[in-house]
Amino acid sequence: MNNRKWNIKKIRRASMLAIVLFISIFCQALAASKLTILVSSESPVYQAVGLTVRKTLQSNIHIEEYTPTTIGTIPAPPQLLLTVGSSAFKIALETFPDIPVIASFLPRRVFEESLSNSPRTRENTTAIFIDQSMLRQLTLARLITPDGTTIGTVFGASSIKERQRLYQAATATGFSIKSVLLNSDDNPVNTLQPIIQETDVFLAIPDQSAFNRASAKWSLFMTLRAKKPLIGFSEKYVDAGALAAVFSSPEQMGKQTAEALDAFITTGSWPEPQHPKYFTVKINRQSAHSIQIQLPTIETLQHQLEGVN
Amino acid sequence: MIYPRLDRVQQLLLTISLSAPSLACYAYSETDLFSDIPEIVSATRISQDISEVPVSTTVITQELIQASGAIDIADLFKLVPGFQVYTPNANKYAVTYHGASGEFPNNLDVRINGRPVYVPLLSTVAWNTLGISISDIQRIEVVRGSNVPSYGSNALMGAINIVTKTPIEQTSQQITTTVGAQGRKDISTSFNGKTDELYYRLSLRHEKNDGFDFQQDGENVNLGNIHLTFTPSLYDSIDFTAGFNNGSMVIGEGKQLSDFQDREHFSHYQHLQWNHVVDVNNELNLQLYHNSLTLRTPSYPASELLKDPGLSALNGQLAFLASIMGNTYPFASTQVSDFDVYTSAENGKTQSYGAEVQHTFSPVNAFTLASGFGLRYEKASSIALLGNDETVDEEVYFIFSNAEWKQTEKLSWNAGIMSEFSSITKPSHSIRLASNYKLTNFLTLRGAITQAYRTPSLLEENGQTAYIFPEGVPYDYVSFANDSIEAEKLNAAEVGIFWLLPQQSGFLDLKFFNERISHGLDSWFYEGPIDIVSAKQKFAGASVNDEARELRNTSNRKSRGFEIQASLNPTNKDLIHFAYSLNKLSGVEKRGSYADKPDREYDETSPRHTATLLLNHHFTPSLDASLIFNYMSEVEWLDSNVRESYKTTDLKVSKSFHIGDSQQLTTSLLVKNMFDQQYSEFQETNLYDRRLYLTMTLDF
Repeated sequence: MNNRKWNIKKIRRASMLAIVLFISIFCQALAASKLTILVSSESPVYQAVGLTVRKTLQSNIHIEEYTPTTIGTIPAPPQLLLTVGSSAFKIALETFPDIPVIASFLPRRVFEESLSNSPRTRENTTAIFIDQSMLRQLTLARLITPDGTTIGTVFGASSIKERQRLYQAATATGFSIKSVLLNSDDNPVNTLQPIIQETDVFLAIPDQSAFNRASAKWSLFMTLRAKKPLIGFSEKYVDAGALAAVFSSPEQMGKQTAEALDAFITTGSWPEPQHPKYFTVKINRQSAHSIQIQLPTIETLQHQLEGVN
Repeated sequence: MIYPRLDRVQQLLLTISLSAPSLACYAYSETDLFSDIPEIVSATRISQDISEVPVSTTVITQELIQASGAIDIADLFKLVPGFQVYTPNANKYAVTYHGASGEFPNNLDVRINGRPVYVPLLSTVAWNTLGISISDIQRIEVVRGSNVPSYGSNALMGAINIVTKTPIEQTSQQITTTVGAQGRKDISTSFNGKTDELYYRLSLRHEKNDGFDFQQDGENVNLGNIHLTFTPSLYDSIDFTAGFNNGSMVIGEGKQLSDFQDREHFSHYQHLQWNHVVDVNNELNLQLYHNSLTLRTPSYPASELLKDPGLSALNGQLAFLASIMGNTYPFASTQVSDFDVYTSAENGKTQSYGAEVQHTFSPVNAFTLASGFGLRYEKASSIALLGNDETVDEEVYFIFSNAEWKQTEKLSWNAGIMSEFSSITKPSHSIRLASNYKLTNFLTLRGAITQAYRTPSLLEENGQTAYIFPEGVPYDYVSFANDSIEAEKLNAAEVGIFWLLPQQSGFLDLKFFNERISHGLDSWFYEGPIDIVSAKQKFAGASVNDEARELRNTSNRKSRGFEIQASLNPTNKDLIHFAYSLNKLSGVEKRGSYADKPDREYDETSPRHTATLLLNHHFTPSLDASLIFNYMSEVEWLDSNVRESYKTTDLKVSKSFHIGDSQQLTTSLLVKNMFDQQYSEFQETNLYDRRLYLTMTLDF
C-alpha cells in the first residue's frame, strides 16, 4: 500500500515536472520574437541557405545573421538559434548551451557526434541533415537495378560510421552488402576491383574531400570498365561520370529549414532530426550509354523517392 | 540564462579550435559533399566543367570517336569548330586553327597525357610519328583559342591534349583490322592485364597503304606503346608510358614521280607522371619525359642532281669564269668535287627532355590555384635544316600560375600567367583574364582577353640552308639564320555563350572572336651573297644576285568571326554533333625587297566557312549508323598552289555480334566521300575520291 502511495506520488511529481518543462519550452518558443542565424562562413553555399530561410519563412520574426567571426557582436542572448553548417553548430554547442537550436545543412554524422560529446540534449536541439538517408540512396539503387542483389561500397575513416545504417537500409531494400574499409596506405585499385566486380551496383558514400576525390578517380574508371552503375552523392559526381545521384541544394535545405522554424514558432514543437525532404535526382546519360543500361525517367525516379526518408 | 560574452581573444581561440580541425585533421563536413570531382583540365590546368572553362573548349569523347568516320588521329579534328585538317602528302597530316598555315603548321600545342609532342626540329607536330593510334585514345580535349598562359609558347592559337586509354578502365583484349582504299591494310592489337600491384596496357599496330594513285606516297609503319599504372596508396598514383614509331612514308611535292622520295623515321618516348593528393587542399603533379625523333631521306650526288656526270661542265664554267674575272673571281676554288645533297628538309635528329611540377591549391571551395615550374631542354642536328652537322640546343625554364575564383554562385573569374625564359631568345610573359557569368542555370556568358607570345622554335632560331661544295664554293645560299628574331605576339578577345540543354542531354556553345598576330615570323627575301647560281644568273644578264631568305618579324594578321558547337543526345539512341566556323582573315605577309617576291595577303589562306554535322543513330544495341557531312569553303594554304574546297558525305555502319560469352565481333563499313565529289588537297595530285573501308574488331 505504502509502495503504491509512493508510486502515485512519484508519478504525480514526474507529471508536474513534465508539465512545467513542457510549458517552459512552449512558452520559450511562443515567446521567441527573434531568430539568430549563425552561418559557418561567408561562403556562398551557406549564404544561400540563410537567404532562402529569410525568403521562405512565414512567421513574423526578427532575423539577425552572424558568422563565427562576428559572433561577439551578438547584442543579447539569442532566443532561437539556427546554425548553418557543421562549424556553426559546433560553436553553438560551446557558446549557447541552453538556447534552442535548429542545426541545418550539416551531415548526420557530424550532428550526432558533436551532440554526444556535449552536455546538450535533443530536447532543445534538432537538425536537418544535408546528406540523404541511406534508405533513399539504396532505393535509388533499387530503381536503377531492379534485379540487382548486391551493392558494393568502400568506407573511409569517417564514412565507416554509416556502416550500420547502410546495412539496415540494405535489408529494407533487398540488397546484400559487400564493403571494405579503404585506408590511405591501401592500393585503391586492388581494394576496389573485387568489390566492383562482385556486386551489381556501387555506392559512393561521402567522406573527407581528399578521400572522395582520390577514390572517385578509381571508382569512376573501374565501374566504367566493369559496366556497373555508380551512384554518387553530389551533382559534381554525376558530372564527372557517376550514373546517378540524389542530393539537396542549399536552396532546398533552406526551404525545409524555414518550414521547420515556422512549425516550431507556431506550435512550439521540435521536429525530429531529419534528412532532406526536398531533393534532386540527376543522371548522366553518357554514362548510361557507356554501361548500356536503360534508366527510368528522372521524373519517375524523383516521384518514387519522394516519401522515402 | 547567462549569456556568455567572449572577449576577442576567446572568440578567436574558439573559432580556431572549432574550425581548425576541419582543416588540419580534415574532419568530415558538408563542404565535402560539394567538393570537386576532376573533369576537364586542359584549359587552365584546374579541373573544371565545360561550362566553367574560360576559353571555348571541345571534348572529343570516346562516343564521338566511335561515331566518327576517322581512321587516323588527325581526322578527328574536323569535328572541332575552326580547325582544319589537310594532307600535304597521303600520310602527312597538317592540323591548324584559323588557317594561315602551310605544310608545317606551328601554332598548336599538342600533348599526349600532358607530354608535349611538338617537334622542335620541324616546328610542328609530326602526326605520323606519335607512337599511338586512334584506337589508343580515350578522349581529346581541345582548347580553341590561345592557351599560352597554361601550356606555353606553342599553344599560341590553341592546345590539344590527347588522353589515352588507361589499363584500369580497359576491360578486354582487342584485335582490329582495317582494309580498304589506297591499299590500306592496318592491324592493331591491345592487351590489358595486371600483376599484384601494377596494371598494364600494351598496344601494337602495323599500318600500310599505297597513298595517292599517281605518286604512290604510301607508308609502311610499325608502332607500339605501353602504359603502366601503379597505385601504391589511395593518395598516390604513378603512370609510366613509353612507345615507339618506326617506318617509312613517301613525301614530296610536284607533278613528276621523281619529285617524291622515301622518308624513314624512328621515334620513341618515355613519360613518367606522379600524382599525389597531399590533403584536402593540396595536390601535387610531377612529370618527366623524353622524346626522340630521327628522320632520314636519301641523299643524291650533286652531279646527279645537276645532271653533270663528273661535274665536268660545272668545272669548265668555273674555269671560264675565273679566266674572265681574274682577281675579282669570287670563289675559293676553280675546281669542285662531288658531294651528297639532301633534297628534302625532313632530315636529322632531335630530342626533347622535360620536367614539370604543378601544385594545385584550393584553400577554400571558391578559389583554386594551379601553379608550377618546369624545364624543357631541346637539341637537334640536321645538315639539311641547320646547314651543318653541329648540334644546336635550347633550354627553356618556365613558371606558370592559373587561378579560378568563384566570386559568387553566378560570377567566376579565371586568370593565368606563363613566363618563359629561353637560353636563346628574350623572356616572354603571357597573360589571360577571363570571366564567366551564369545568367540562369542553363545559360552562361563568357569573356576572355589574352596577350600571348610565341618564342621562336629551335629551328626558327637556327635554321639555315646552303649547298656548298667541299672546296668551299657555294652553289646556292638558300636561307640564313637571323639572331635578332623575336617572339610573335597575339592579342585575342573572345565572347562566348554556353547554353546547357538538359532535355537533349547536350549543349550549344557560341563563340565570337577577334585575334591579332603581330610580329609574325615569315620568310624575308633579299639579294643573297654571290654563289654559283647568282653568277650564272648574272652571266645570263641579271643585275642582282640570286635570292636568299631569313626569318623576320614582319607579318601581321587578324582573324574575326564566330564558331558554333552543338552536342546533343535527343534520345538515348541518337547523337548529334555540329561544328561551324566563320573566319574572316586579313593581313599581309611582308616578304622583303627581292624583285619577284612581292608581299602576300593572308586573306585566302584560311577558309571562310568550315562545317561538320555528325548524326549517329543506334537502331538496335548492336547496329548503329553515322552520317557525317563536311564542308570547307575555298582556301589556298601557304606553300600550296591549289585552291581547294570540299563538300563530302561519309557513311559508317557498324554491326556487333556476340560470339561466346565474352567475345564480340564488330564490323564497320565506312564510305568516305559517298557521292564521289572529287577534290585535290594541298597539291593537285592529292586527289580525294570515294573511298571504302572495312574494319573488323574482335574484343575478347
